[in-house]
Amino acid sequence: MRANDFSAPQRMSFSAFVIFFLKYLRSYTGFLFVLVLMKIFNPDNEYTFGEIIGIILSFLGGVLALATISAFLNYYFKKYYVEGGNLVFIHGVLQKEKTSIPLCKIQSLRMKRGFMYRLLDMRGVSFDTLASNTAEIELILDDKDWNMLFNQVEMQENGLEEGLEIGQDETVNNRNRRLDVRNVNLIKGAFCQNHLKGMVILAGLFVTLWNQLMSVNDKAAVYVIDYASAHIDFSSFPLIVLVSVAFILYIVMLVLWIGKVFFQYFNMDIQMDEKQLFFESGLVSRNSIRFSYDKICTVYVKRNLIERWLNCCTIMLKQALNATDEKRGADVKIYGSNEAGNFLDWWLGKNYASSNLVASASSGYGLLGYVIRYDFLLSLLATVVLCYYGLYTWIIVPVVYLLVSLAKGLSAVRQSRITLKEDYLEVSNGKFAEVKNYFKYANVEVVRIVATPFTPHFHRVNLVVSTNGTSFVMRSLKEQEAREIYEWLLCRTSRLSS
Amino acid sequence: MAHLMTNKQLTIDNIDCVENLHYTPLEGKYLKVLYVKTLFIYLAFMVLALFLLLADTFNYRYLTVVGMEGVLLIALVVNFFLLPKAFAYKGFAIREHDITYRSGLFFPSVTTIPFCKIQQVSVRQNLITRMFGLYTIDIVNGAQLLANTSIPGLAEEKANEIKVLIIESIRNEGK
Repeated sequence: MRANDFSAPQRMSFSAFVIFFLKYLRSYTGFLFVLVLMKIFNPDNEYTFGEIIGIILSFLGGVLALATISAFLNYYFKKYYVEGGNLVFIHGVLQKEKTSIPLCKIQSLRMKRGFMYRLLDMRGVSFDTLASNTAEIELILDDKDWNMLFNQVEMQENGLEEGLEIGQDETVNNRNRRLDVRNVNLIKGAFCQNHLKGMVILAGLFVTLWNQLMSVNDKAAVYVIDYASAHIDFSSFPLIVLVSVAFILYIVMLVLWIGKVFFQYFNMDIQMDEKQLFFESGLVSRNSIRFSYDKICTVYVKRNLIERWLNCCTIMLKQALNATDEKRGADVKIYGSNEAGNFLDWWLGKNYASSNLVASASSGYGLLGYVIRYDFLLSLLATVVLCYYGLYTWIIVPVVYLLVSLAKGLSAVRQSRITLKEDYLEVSNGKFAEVKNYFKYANVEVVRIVATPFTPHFHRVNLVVSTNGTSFVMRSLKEQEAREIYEWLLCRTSRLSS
Repeated sequence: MAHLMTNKQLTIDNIDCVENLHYTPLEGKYLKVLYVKTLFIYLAFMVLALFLLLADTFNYRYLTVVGMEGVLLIALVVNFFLLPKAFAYKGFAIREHDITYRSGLFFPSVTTIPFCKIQQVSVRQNLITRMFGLYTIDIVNGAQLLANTSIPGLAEEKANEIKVLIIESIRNEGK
C-alpha cells in the first residue's frame, strides 16, 4: 500500500503515467502524421494499399513505443515528499535535481482537471511561489493525495504542526460560504465585456478584406465600386442587406467571444472561508485555483455602461505576480455578477464601507491632456493629410474621433481619484467604465511622486503607488494633496510592519 | 519577551515630510562619471551615423552625415550644460522607516521605499565607476513597478555604510 503521509519519497499514482503517456502521444502525433505523409507521397516510391497500411502501423508502433518510454521516464524518475515543512521534488533522468519549496511560501495552488484528468479522476496541481524566475512544478495526483497535500500546506500556513492527524475532509470541505454565480450571469457578463472586442474583430475583418482586395490590383477597389454602381439600379441591391451582413458577422464574433468565456468559466464555483478562497470553473477542462486571503493584493471592480444598466459588474482578484503567473494569468475573474460587496466584505472586513476617510485627491485636467495626447496627434495628422488632398468633407471623421477622445478624457478626469480610508485604499481609474481598485496599506511596496515641467505653473504632480501585484499612476493631483497622501501611505505601510 | 506594538494616532503635522528632508548629495566625482557616460553615448551615435557614408546610392550622404554629426554635437554640448543641474538635484535621505531617492531634471521624481518592503540590497560597480572609485546601491523590493531603485555615485565606505544600515533596518522592522 502506498504511504500517503508524504514522509518518504514517493511516485505519483499509476494514473499519472497514463496521463503522461497520453500527453506524449498527443505531442508526437503531429510528427507521426508528417512522417507518414512524407513517406507515402514520396514521388520516388509507389506503394500498394497494403504497404501503406503497413507503413502507418509501423510508424504508429514507433510513436506508441516512444510515448511509452517518455512517459515511463517522466513518471519513474519523478518523486516527491514533504520534509521539514518543505515540499521536496526529485526529478531528472541523467542529471538528478532536487527542488525544495517551503510549504509556507506557496502562494497559490493551481489545479487543472482536463478531460483525461477527469476520466482518470486525477488533478494536475501546480505550486506557485513568489520566486520570479523559478519554473512551476506540476504534480499529477489523485483525490486522496491531493487532499492530504492540501491539508499539509494549510497546516504549514496556520502553523499547526500537530494538526497532521486532522482528517482531510474537515479541511477541504470546511468552507463557510459559497457564492452563487449562475451561467446566465456569465453570459450576461461576457456580453457586456465583449461588445467592443466584437467590433474590433469586425473592423479587423473588414480591413483584412480591404487589404486582400487592394493586393489583387491597385485599382481593384475602384473596379468593385464601379461594378456595384453600374449594377445597383438593376439588382436594387439594398443597403439594408449590407448592414444585415455586417450585423450577422458582428453577432457571430460576439457569440464566439461569449463561447470562449463560457468554456473557461462554466459552472463557476466560488467558496470562501475566513482564510482562503477556492475558485473552480470550466466546461470541458475544470481549472481551479486556491489562494489565501492575505495573498490577494488588489480587488478590482469594473462597471461599464452596459454592466451598470444590467446591474452587474466584473470582479478581478489580483495576486502578487511571479514569472509563471505572467504567462498564465492567476487572477480570478468573475463576470456578470453583483458580488463585489461580498468579496470586499470578505477581504476588507464587514465594516469596510464605514471606514473613516483619511485623505483623498482627484485628478485635474492634466489627465485629459494625457489621455487624448495620441488621439489628438492622430486627428491632427489625418486632418492635414485630408486638407492636402482637398477632401474637406472628410475632416468630419478626425473631428468626431477627437470628440469621442475628448469625452473619454473628460470621463477619465471625472473618475480618477485616490481615496485613503482608515483600513484600505481605493483607486478609481476608469475611462468610460467605472473602475475601482481596492488594496490594503500592507500591500504598498513603493511610492513615487513625479513633477512635470507644468508643475511650477499648475502645482499638479503624478503619484505612483506600486503594490506587489499592481501599480497605479495617479496623474495631475494637487501637489499638496499628493504629498500628504504620499506621507500617509509611507506612515501606514511602515507602521503596519512594526 | 512579548513585543509591544505601538499604535499612536498620526497627524500629518508630526511626520517629517519627504519634501522637508535634507538630501545627502552624491559624491562630486559622480558628475565626471556622468560626463564620461554621456560622451560615450554620443560618440556611439556619431560613429553609427558615419555608417551612412557606406550607402553609395544615397547622393546626399555627405551632407546628411555632416548634418547629423552637427546636431549630435550640439545636443552633446547642451547635455553637458544640463548635467551639473541634474547632478545637483540627485540625492538620498534616510528616515527611521524608509529611504528616499530624488532624481530627474525635466520630470523630477522622489521615490521612497519603506525598509519593511526591501527584499534585497546590493552594491555594484561598472567599468566607468570603477575608474572613479564609485559604487551604486541597488535596492530591490517586491513591487510590480519601480521594483529596483538604484542610488549611484557613492564612495565605497558610504555605500557599505548605507547597505549595513538598510539591512539592520530591515531586521529591526521585521522584529
